[in-house]
Amino acid sequence: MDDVMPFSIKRKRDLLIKKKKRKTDDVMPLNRCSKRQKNLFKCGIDNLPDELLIAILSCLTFQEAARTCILSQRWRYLWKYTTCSIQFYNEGTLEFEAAEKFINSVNEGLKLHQGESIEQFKVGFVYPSISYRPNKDTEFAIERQSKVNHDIDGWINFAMEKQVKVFELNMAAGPLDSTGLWRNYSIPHVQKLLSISGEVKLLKTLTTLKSFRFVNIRITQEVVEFLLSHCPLLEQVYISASKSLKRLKVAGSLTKLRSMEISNCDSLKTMKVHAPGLVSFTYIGRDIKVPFKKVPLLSELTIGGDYAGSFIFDAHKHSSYCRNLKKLKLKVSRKVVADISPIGELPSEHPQLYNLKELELDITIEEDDGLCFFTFLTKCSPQLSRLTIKLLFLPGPERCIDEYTEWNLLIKEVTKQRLMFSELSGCDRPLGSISPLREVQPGVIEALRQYLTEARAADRNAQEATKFCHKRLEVVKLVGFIGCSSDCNLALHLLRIARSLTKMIIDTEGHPKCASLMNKKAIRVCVEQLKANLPPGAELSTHGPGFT
Amino acid sequence: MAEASSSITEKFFLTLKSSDGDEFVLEESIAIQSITIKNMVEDGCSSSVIPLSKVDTETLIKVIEYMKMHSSTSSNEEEIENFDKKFVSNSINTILNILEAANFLDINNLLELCAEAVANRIKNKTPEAVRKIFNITSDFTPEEEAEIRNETPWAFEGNLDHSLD
Repeated sequence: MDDVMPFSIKRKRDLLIKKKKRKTDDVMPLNRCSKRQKNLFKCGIDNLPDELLIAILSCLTFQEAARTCILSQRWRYLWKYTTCSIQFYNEGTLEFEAAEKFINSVNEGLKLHQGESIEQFKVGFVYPSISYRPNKDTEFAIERQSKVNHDIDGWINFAMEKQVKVFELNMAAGPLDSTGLWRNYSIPHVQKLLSISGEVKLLKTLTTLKSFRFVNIRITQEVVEFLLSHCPLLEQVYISASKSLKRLKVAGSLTKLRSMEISNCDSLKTMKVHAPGLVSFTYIGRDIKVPFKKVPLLSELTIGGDYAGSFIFDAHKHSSYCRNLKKLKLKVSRKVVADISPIGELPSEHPQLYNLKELELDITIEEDDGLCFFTFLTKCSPQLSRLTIKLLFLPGPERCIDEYTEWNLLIKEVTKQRLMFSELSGCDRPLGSISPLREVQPGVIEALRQYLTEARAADRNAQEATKFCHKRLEVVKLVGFIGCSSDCNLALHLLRIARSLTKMIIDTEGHPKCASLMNKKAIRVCVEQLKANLPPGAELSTHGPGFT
Repeated sequence: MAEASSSITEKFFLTLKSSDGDEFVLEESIAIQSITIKNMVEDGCSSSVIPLSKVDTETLIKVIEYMKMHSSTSSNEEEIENFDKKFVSNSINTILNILEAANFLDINNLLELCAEAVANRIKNKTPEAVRKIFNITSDFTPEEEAEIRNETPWAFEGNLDHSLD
């Protein structure tokens, strides 16, 4: 505050005064700079005090920060004091050797950290899934696994010691719960948690913990509920891909809890959520009973898996929490798409989304499936202003009919691709009507034609059923556009519905696996049609590789 | 002064003076995003010119632009996001000056934005590129450098970018 002296004369000037030329010798005080510094730049990074350099380093990953040790003497040890966040991520550790190397580097790195506390500790890697030959390597594999588990214990201990506020243990990139000799890292009971860092240290850190995330870790109801009840400041909770989580009750004095995600925990049978401050929730998984009990502020919801199907087709079950939603994201799998009525009829009851402003649909679909069905959701959302539809396409039957001459080849290709797609989309049954075929069966083509005719009729029916005028919808964005009948029809239909539209965005940047399905010519034709049908004043914006 | 500033119906203005002697008039509600200025206002210094001896004119103009955009009433989220994106594309020396000013003025969001912007220009770069971008002169001998690299070999793994963008 030494700089402030009262002046009696007050001159007011326009903000855009002409800049005076800066003198270089009186601009920056140098007194706060490190004594080690020899090069006195008048402006530049070495002019900053250590605290600001550490603030900069704290925005980097630990590895990136560590790399600055080589820059000059001044930088040599600064990185060890990074406070914000220590992050180690590596997705290339499927092989055991790579994983071991990664684990060792984390261990080495953590030893070097000098600061007393850190804001965040996040570590993510692929849990190696090694299938050893039985008998011969079993002992060796078990030994190695126990070392890895011991190292992960050490990371948790480190996080507790440094009193982290944000903790993440993420093994997402790996196969979900490897089937080989190894089982994923597991915290099966509270006893295990207490044994890792000792009760005192653990409970102390939990009192200030704001967020935790466990991905692909075997964690149980007992452990999660223990954490929930011992973290009074908890704001965010994420648990993903834990096969051992069977039930969950979120209750107690969780007044700060704002955001929660429970996704892909395939064994989860029941969940109850009482959280008065909860604003955002993500649930992807089985069709469980509606979990929300006291969530008056819940306004942002992401749902997927069978639960999303239930949301679409059994609206009455979800009426208790629908009305408050402002943002909704539905992840619709091909399995849910297949449940749409074969004649394009809308569900008898619609979800009541009276306050919804933003809707995002992530849909996995075959090229020839009708998409217009989904526009009924705009009809139940009178306040909707922004609609985003992200499409992930699988090859459809028409492709096979058109290219009849290469039939056998295609079948193989399609079958292969579908396998990849089904892995990718988590769909657990054969996709579409032709994938199991290995060669042309009599009548198949006819059956496919029949299927296509019906699918198109169903889409037309859905268009008829959703023919209405939306008065608030302003922005529609279609991502993963490939120029097939499904997406072109959808885009045109949306223009008919949304007469209040100001902007439609067609983005052809989709999943790399869909790139081969793109039809640039059809996209061009479709865009021309869209332009001709835009409501007055609306603009069409196009992005991605489909327009090059 | 404290009584006056508690009134909400009237707009109050502050005059900020850069180290180059240029003065800027700014609405108080905007200026108090700076905790340093806020404290001064609360201490009753706001009727006069507030000299910011550590902030030059060029930097102060940028800081005021930022505060105006981020003052809660006038901008929406998307505008702010676009503004921030453009803001961090300023030259690295400008960013460093703003960073230091944000630290002095205690504007946490701006400090974080600039620290992140600087960090983004360190990220994925080879140490040689970082030295050039930031005009840092190595004072290590080649032997020392080799030794330091050996202490944390994991820090130097991966594909690093040589470019100076």
